[in-house]
Amino acid sequence: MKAPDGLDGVPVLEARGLTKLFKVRSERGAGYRRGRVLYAVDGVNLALRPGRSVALVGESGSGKSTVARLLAHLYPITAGEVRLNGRPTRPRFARARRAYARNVQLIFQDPFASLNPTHRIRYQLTRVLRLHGYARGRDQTAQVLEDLLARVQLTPANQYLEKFPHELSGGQLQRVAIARALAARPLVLLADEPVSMLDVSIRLGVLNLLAALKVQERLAILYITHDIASARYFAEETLVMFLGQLVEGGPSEELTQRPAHPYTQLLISSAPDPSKRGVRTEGRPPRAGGRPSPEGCRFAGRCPHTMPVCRDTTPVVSDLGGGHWVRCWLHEPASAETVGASATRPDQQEVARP
Amino acid sequence: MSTDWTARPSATPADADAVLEIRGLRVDYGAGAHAIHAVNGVDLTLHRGEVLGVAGESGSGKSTLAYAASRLLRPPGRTVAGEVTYYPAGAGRQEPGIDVLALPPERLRKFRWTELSVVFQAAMSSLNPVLNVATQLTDALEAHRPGMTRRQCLARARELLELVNIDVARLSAYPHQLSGGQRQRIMIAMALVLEPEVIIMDEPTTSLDVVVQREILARVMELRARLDCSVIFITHDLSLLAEIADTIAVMYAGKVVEIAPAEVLCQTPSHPYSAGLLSSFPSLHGPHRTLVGIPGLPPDPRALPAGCPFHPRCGEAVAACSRDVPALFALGQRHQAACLVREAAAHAELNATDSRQASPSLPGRAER
Repeated sequence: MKAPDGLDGVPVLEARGLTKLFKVRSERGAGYRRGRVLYAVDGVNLALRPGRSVALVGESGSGKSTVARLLAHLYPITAGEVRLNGRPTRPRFARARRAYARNVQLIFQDPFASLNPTHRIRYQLTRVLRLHGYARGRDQTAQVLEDLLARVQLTPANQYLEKFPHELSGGQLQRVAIARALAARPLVLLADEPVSMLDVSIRLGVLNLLAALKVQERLAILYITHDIASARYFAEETLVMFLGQLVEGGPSEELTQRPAHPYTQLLISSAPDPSKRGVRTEGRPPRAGGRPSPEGCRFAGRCPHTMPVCRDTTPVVSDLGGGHWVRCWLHEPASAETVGASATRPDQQEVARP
Repeated sequence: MSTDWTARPSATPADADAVLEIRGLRVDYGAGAHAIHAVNGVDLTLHRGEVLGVAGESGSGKSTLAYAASRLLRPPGRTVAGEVTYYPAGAGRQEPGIDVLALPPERLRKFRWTELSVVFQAAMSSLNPVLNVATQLTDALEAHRPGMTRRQCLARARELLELVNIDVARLSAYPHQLSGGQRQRIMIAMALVLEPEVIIMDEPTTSLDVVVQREILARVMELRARLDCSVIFITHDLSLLAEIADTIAVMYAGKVVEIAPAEVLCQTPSHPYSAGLLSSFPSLHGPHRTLVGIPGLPPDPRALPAGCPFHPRCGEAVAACSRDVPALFALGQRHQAACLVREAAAHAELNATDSRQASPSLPGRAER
C-alpha cells in the first residue's frame, strides 16, 4: 500500500497480503459444510511506522485480533508475509521467535488474564528482562524496573513491585502489561483493545500514556479497537476491517469525517456520540442475514446500496486521494470495465490462495 | 440519605406516576466493622414509561443496587436499610404500594417476572447451556401461567422472538449456537415473557460491539414504547445513556452523586465527576482536542476516603470536601447533585440574585 500523504517514513513493520485460513469444523445445523475454510484474514496490507499509530477498527469476528496475532507470529501465516525493517520474517525456532518478540510486543485486552496471577509484578517484569538479556546484576535490574514503572506512570515503583495482580486495579494492571511490553525494548507495540476492559474514567489515561510513549520512544503502534471515535482520537491512520478484509483506510480525520464505505458509515452512525446528546435512537441499522458469498463484496448482505455487481465480483480498491482508499463498487468510477486492470495494480497484489 | 435541608419533603406530593421507589437503600457486603457499604443510601424513583439510566464505574454499586431492588442479592450481600416500593398500574396512590423487600417468598415469586424482570450482563452465562431457546422462553410461562397449554406457550415464544428480531427457527437452537447479540436479545425476550411493568437491565450491551449494541438499544426503545414498561438501564457508558435515557443518575462509591434529566445532565453536568465522565469520551465530530479524563483511580470500597469520596480525584476540591460528606441538593427542576463546592456556589448565587427567594425546594422526589 502506498504511504498516505503525511504518513511517509520507512515502515518498521509491514504486512503484505497477510492471509489466515482456519479450517471450520463440520457443524450440522449451523450451515457449515465439511472441510469448509474460513478466511479469518484475507489479503491484508498494512504498514507501521516509527512514532506513528495505525488503528484497526471492526466489529467482533472481523479478524482484527487475528491480524495482531499474525503480526506477532503467534499463528502460522497461511499466505503473505510480515516484514520487519524491510526484511521478510518467519521465525520458526525459539531463538528466532525471541529475537522477533524483542522487536514486536503485544498488549492484550484483559489485563486480569494476561498477567500471571501467581507472581508478583517484580517477577513478571524481571522475567522479560532476563529473557532478553537486559538484566545484569541486582542493582541494574532494580534501576531498570524503577525506570520501567516510571515510564508507565506507576510511581513510586516500590509500591507496585511487590504486589500481586489481584491487588491492583484494571488500569494499573494494564500499565504493568504495557511496562512488560516495554521491557523488551520493542520497535512495535500491537495493542489489542487495550482500554476496552477498563473503566471509562481511566481509559483516557492509558490511551494518553500510549500516545506519549509513541512520541517519546518512537514506537510504532497498531491500535486495535471497535470504538471508531477512539481511533480518531488516538491514531493518525485508521483501517476498517470487515470479515477479514480491509474495506477502507486513510488518515483518521478524513476517514471519520468523510467515510466512504457503507460499513464505515454504519460503524460511525452506530457509535454513541456525546455530541449527539439527547438524540433518540433512530431506526435499526441495515442488517440482513445470510453468509457472505465467497465471490462478491462481503458486506453485500448487509449493505443498503447493494448492486448486482456487488454480489458477483469482489470490489477493487479505489483511491480517493490524500491516502484515503476504499474497497467498494460505489466508488469505482467505471466499475465493471476496469475490474481486470485494477485487480493487478501493483499496490494491490492479489494473494495466491492455496 | 443524610439529613439536612434538602431532605425535607416539599409541598408537592410524591410523584403520582412513580412505579418503583427506592428510598434510603443500603447494601453491605459482610458484617461488622469490615462490612463494605456497596450501596450507601440511595434514593431513586422510576416513573411510569421512563428509562432511568444509572451510570457508574465498576465498584460504584450500580449492579448491587439492581440486585437489591429485585431481591436477588446473595450473601454476603445484605440489604441493611431502606425501602423498595412498587406501585402496580392503576393502583393509584391511595394504596400503599407493595413493599418489595418484605414480600414473602410466594408473593416474591409471583412478583418477579410478572411485575419486574431483570436482564443480566453476561448473556453467555445467564442462559442455561443445556436447554434450547424454546424451553428457556416458556419456562417462566409454565411456572406463572399454569393454565396455558404447551402450544400456547410456544406461540408466545415465537411471538417474542419476532419482537426481538430473531428468526423463529432459532427456537430449537441452543445458546452456544447463537451469537452474543442473539443471546442478549433472547435474554431481553425472556424478560418480556409476562410483560412486566419494570425491567431492570444490567449492562445489557456491554460485551457487544457497537453495531449490535445499536440494534439492541433500538429494540429496547421500540419495545418500551409498544409495551409501555419502565426501564432501569444500568451501564458504565454515559454516552449511551445520553441517547436513550430520560433521566440519568450517576453513581460513585455507592451513592448517587448527581441525578437529572438526560439532556440537562449531558449539557450542564454539575458534579465534577459527571463532568469528568462526559469529557472522557473521544468524540467523532468537532475539533480534535486532548482529553484528560479523570485523574486517579476509582476508590477502593473497603477504604473509602473521608468526606466526599470523589475528593482525591477532584480538581475543584476544597478543604471541606475531605471532611464533610455532601448530600444531594436541588439545582433546579429535577436536577440534584451532591457536591459541596457546587452547593456553596449555588447558595452564593441565590443570595446574590434573589435574597427573598427561599432555598430551592425539591420537587417532591427527595424523601418522604
